Amino acid sequence: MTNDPELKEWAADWQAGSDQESSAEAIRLYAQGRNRFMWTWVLLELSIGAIALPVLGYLGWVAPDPVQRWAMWLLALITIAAMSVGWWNWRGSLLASARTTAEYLAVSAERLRRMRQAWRIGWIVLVAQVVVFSVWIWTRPFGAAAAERFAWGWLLFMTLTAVALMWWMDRRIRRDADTFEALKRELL
Amino acid sequence: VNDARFDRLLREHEAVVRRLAHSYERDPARRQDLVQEIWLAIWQALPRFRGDASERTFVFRIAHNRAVTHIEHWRRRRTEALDEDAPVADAAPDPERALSQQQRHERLRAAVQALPLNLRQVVVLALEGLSHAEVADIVGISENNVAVRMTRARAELTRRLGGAGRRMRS
Repeated sequence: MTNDPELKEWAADWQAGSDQESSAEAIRLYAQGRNRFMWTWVLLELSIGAIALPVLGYLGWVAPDPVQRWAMWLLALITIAAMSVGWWNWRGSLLASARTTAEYLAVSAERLRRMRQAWRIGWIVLVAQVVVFSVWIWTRPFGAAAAERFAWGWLLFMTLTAVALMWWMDRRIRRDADTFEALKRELL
Repeated sequence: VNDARFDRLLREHEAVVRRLAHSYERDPARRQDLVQEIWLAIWQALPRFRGDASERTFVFRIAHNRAVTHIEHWRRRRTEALDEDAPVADAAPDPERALSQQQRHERLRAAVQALPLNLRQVVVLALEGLSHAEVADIVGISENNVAVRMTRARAELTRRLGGAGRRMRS
């Protein structure tokens, strides 16, 4: 504690501040509830993955042609990637206990760098997925023209949705990176 | 065991966390969110806390890290959590009127809120009674750097409070 009398006075004034108190019980319930929600979310993701992965693996294994096999395995890859990102985000929420603010900012910056890497890999997986599904639709005998049109339309819709998601992710990562850089300059 | 420990931390440090949140966020609703986020982070980190620092340092560390995230979150939305150029209310009060401690606290808080982030971060910890070494440990800068920032923060606070901090006590 300081020997500076003015700082001591300020500290006394500061610590005398009496904001309206939050209910301790409400805070505890909030923390418990949010924590439970996050765990439930992670378990839900893991459960979906635990069901989807063997099914996709099996469908790929018994697929009559290599295109269909690759399509199923790429879907399995996307499922694994989605599960990893979910787990990674959840782990990220625990970072606040980093030893110092400097370390916290460094770890946050590292997370952003890895997210950018994941984003790049995401593009490669998306392109591979579109190519495989295009070949699959092209070579598959649909019987009716409407069914084939629906398949192309569906692929187009999914691709555009994924592109929009990737674009949004890119903007978010860039904004996060800029903000963290500015904060780092300001704080350290 | 963690529930009981959390409850104790909550009892002992609730006011500190509220004051800290207030120094980073003026908006009451967003401030309440920040307080809750801080306690959630403490709840999650508690099982891994092995006592390598004091509980007070542990709480401050998490609170400051969450506050940084809070600021980052709102800046990303192009909304400042705090307007650093906002004037300090009643900067030149009537010297005849002695302010109550609560009023002095509010003026001081307004002055602290107006400080640049790097100064605010160290001064809030110092006002809570932490030593330079403890502040340095939490922020991750050298003790010399803490001393330099404190000198600047102190000068800035004196200027913003109109040098009337002590006169008002008479």
